[in-house]
Amino acid sequence: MGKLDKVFQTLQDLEKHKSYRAFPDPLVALPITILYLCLLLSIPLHRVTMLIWMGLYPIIACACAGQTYGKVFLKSLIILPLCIFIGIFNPLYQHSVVATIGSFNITQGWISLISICIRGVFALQSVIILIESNGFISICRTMRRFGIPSFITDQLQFVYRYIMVILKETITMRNARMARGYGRKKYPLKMWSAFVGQLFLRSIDRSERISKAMSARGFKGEMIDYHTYISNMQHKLSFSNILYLLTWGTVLPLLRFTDLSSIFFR
Amino acid sequence: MHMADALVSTPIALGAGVVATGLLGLAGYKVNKEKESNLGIVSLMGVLGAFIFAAQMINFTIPGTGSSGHIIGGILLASFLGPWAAFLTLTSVLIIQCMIFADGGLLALGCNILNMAAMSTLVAYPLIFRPIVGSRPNNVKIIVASLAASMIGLELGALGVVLETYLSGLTALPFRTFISLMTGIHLFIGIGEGLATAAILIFVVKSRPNILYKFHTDQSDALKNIKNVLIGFGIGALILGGGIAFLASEYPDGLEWSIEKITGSTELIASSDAIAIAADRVRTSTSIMPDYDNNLSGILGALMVLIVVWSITYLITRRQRKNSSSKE
Amino acid sequence: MSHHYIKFTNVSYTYPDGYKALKDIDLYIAHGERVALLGNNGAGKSTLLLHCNGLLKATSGEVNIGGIPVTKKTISDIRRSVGMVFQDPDDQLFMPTVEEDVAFGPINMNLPPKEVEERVFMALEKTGTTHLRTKSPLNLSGGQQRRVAIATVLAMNPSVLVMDEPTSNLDFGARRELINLLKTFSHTQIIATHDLGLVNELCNRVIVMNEGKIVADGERDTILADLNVLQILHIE
Repeated sequence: MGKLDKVFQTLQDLEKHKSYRAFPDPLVALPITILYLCLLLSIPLHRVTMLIWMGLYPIIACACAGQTYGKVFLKSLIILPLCIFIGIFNPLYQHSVVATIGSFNITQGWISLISICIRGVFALQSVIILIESNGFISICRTMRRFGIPSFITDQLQFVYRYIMVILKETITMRNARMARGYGRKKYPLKMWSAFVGQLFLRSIDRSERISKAMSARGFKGEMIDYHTYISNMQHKLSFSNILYLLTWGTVLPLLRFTDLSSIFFR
Repeated sequence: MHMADALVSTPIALGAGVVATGLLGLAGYKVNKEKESNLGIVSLMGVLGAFIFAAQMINFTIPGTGSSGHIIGGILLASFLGPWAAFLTLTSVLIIQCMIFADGGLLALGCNILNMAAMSTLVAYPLIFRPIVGSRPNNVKIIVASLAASMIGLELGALGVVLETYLSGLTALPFRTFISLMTGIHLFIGIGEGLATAAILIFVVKSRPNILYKFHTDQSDALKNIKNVLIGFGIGALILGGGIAFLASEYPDGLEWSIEKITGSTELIASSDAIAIAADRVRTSTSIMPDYDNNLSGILGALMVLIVVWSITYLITRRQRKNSSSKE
Repeated sequence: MSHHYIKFTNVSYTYPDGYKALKDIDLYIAHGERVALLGNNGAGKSTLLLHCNGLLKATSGEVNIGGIPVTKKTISDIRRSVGMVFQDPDDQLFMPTVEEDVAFGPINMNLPPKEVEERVFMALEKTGTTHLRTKSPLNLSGGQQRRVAIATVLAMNPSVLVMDEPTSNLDFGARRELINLLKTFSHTQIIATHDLGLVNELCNRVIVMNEGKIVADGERDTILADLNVLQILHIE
């Protein structure tokens, strides 16, 4: 089950990863990312050039966050199989020829397939950059600042906290089975239910112990956020953060609603 | 099936997001009330969320078919957490999968929450699973209930995916083909999910008979939930319907023109069904517009700019990365 | 605060499934004592510990902490004076960062923000974990986790520390650090453990349990020299 180990490794890397410069502040990065996604995904499929122009954001945001665009780009390619899987129907059904390069006829179908792939890749890049330069917990805290209720962010933080723990247990159980010769990628249903059922029972037991630990320290139902409890100080955004916000706040809609390619042909 | 951002357009994503937010708000209210009588639900939701995440990575095979799959776990979670806590838990797993593992798009989260979390925990569990299992579960009832609830829940989810993709106007796949494909596939996935859910429930009850007292047995909740879910979907339908009507009225000329244009290349639902026509209008208004701008030089120019910008940023950050690594 | 004693009077506990975990426990632990609770698995050690701060309610008999009987009304106060360190630190560190975990107790006690900060600082200092303040528990070693878990409890200023197998799964270095740390505490300590080295270094009194009952209770050296006890514990 290479997937288990891979996922475990991804989480460990995410935890240990430190961005060279966590810029911008997640308070700015989150809304800009969402703005980007909204604008990107509203572009009609035939506007390929506009889609390509939107690629400016991931490249520059990556640099600001101190990450390597090359790595992010490669990671984002993971979405291509899915895009092609669904999008491949477009060339099959849309046959109206839209352009010709030399002797090649490019149909509307191919254009829309390419568009689906481009938007998929760029959308994913923006999310990768957001999460990897801030870390998941930081994003949860930012969500809370934006008014997302604590029952959601508490749950997210809790799950995130225990995923590694449960994964470790799963890997241990799997390794034990492997030693007995039952290591496989897929289990027949009965074996699977014993494995996952065991994991389930252990999880329930663990949750009861955690609940006891929480009660032992006075928990009465409300998880009070430490950071807001301690400092009522308003989080001040630095000038460069505000600049970032304003810049992308205007450039992104500009990219979406005007055709910059008109520079190239007069 | 997790929907990617690539397959959904903004209005649909936001619409689904609004409905999902509404349901989440309700879930929060319900769970907060439950906290008053059962503090353990907080840690249970957290740990079972992590559990489901891990369990989804372990595949099972159904002997005789040679196919393999993994559990989604909506019904399983709901049997121990109740519908609303299970909805919240499964949603949190979807959010983490989306953000950290790119399993599902960020904007498409609303759609995924509705398709995958809401259908199984808020619809299939209270309306199908609970009534069949009753207050005294036995193996047969568990198997039947799991199968029925999983199949129906997954079919509803598949329907959601089809609607959302189709309304986004990104696929040229004809509606009828798409929907028959999806519902067909998900019938089998549903059987797998049902068998897997039942298998775990039976195992768990056999190893620890007294775990049944943790079974969510509040029957009165089932009826309340139906009302709430119907309200939720009613609101959602209103928003969606309103959105469709709005869009349909905004682009009358372009739409007439484009509907003409597409009848030549794609299959238009040629029924007098008003909703189908309106849905098709949404689809076409976002996907096909009169003027094409795929001028080759425009595309090449844009690509060149991207490469230039990337090179510049690469050179700048390279120097900074060298500095930081020498500091370490 | 300094006259907290722990008194069990005829305490019995039966689990919901009918299993009798504690049978007529009588116990008196005075302030400042360091008591080791020995017994094989299933003897009832953990069950007994859980009664000390009201996480389990005795089926019959009474638990009294410093003159206050453990009841629904008094539980909040009891849990301030009796701090519990669980066996698996992963169960105890459930917040995203160390400082949030350590602050959890004081915040739930509704202390003013300034005092919460002071307590957090004090608890981290005492356990030598100040540098781990902003780290996630996922990135801590076993020994670090153990010390942070103790810090989360210290922040509530308890007078009694109840610990379940504090040295289990620790390497030699971490174990040594932990034992040295526990030696510096003036709290009453009740430690369920299998670690005889820890008992020898830290505890002056030993209570032995078997099958839900206390079978021996007295000075460490006397008890551990008693052959009957050693047989029960399967040491000889």
